[in-house]
Amino acid sequence: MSVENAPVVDVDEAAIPVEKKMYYRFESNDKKEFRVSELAIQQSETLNRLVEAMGYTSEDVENKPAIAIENIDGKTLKLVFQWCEHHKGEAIPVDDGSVPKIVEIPEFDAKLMDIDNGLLFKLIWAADYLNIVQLLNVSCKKVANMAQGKTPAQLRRVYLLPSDEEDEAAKRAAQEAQDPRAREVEEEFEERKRQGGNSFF
Amino acid sequence: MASLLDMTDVPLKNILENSDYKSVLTLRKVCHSLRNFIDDSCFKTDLDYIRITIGPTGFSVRCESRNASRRRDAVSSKEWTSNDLKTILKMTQNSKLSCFTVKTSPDNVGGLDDLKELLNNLTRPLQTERFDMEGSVTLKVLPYLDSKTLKEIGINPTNNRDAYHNLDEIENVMELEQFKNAVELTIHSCLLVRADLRKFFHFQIVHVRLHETSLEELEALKEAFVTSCDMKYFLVGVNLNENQLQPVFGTPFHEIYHPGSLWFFGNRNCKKHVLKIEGRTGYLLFGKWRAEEVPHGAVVQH
Repeated sequence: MSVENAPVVDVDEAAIPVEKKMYYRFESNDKKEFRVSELAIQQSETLNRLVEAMGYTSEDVENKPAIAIENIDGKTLKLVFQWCEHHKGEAIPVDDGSVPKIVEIPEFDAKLMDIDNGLLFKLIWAADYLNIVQLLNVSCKKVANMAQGKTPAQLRRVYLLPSDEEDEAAKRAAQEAQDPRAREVEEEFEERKRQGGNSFF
Repeated sequence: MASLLDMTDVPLKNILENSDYKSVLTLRKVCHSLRNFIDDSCFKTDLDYIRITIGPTGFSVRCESRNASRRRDAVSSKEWTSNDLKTILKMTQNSKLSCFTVKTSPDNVGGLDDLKELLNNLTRPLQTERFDMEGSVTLKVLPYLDSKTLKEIGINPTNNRDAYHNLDEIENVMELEQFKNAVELTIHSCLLVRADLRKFFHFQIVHVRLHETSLEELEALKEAFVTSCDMKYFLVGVNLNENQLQPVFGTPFHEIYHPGSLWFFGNRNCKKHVLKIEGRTGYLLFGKWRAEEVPHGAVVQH
């Protein structure tokens, strides 16, 4: 099944398939709504437990508000649900401890993950958050493959990582932003030192 | 924009375990945050073999991984500091090596003690199935290897392989759990061992040259073999001739075109196998043989 044909649709974009099986409604943090089959949800341990705990009937699914997934945007969630629909019914892999991990990236997954690295990292984050084991495995495998034969500078660009200097500067900026009084105290301390005082207090 | 460092530990660990060890070493050089994560977290690598040569100014290290086609993929580096070595050993401590080899040069100063300290400071003992080292310094490393994983021990001479010399401190090595749990021991034939042969009977395969061997010890070895289903091969370096061995092994069998003396004994616990003792100049070879391979005319003693 191709990515285009995967049965995940935005509610306001296409017709809902009329089937007896239940389709749950989820909403991303940017208010995009998705309908996902019960079987596809089972790929996500987190969502599966959530819908089990909610115990919705078919009427509830239609009448109650969509289940909000507040940490994931619509673009990422669309990829996640496309993946879950394509792989619905498949067994959840168990880690057998083999190293390197034996992970094959199927054609569908490779095409789904043919995206920019920023979105790929969001997809990994979402797979981890929603506990979708095999999606996490294939997406991490793709990221690991990207590292092969690269220099540290190339990896910094590929993985969108800061250099040590940029990292330090970002940390300082974050610290100051979090506590503006710290900078004021530091400036006051410097001023008193200039004036010849030994004790700050 | 999301970056690799925005992820939690689970995906980061997953990425590292999907990466080959060479990529992980490169990733360590990308930035402080990633280096700290790699150094502090527990993940498995594909490292399969490490050989450390301790030189006068540092360590030379050869690392190999086993890739999917079972071929080894090697990287050699010279002049490593003890910090570099610490990195690779820490990375390895959650994986199992097939072989760990340590070689020393006579002019190394302190390197061996540095290695001992690094191994001692690992959170868990290094896991390797085989360990090879030179005899005189085995005690600096062997106690720090995981005794449950170690199966094979190889002890080599430091330099001169032509002349016989004593293997020092073997009595202390023999007290280690690593020695008691291993199943294969190979001590180079130029190293003379002062020890009771009976201390080696738990091994399945042994190569050893004893300083002195009594007939009682050889008879005990024969008895151990004919009651064991596990013992496979013992090569014992001894200087005893056929006549001296007859009181314990009986009359030997001689094959045409075969220079040595042969004795065969039935295995009391494993009827399909027999013990074959082969006497050659300078050594005796005890081996587990299939009963149907006993040559025609030879007597299997019971």
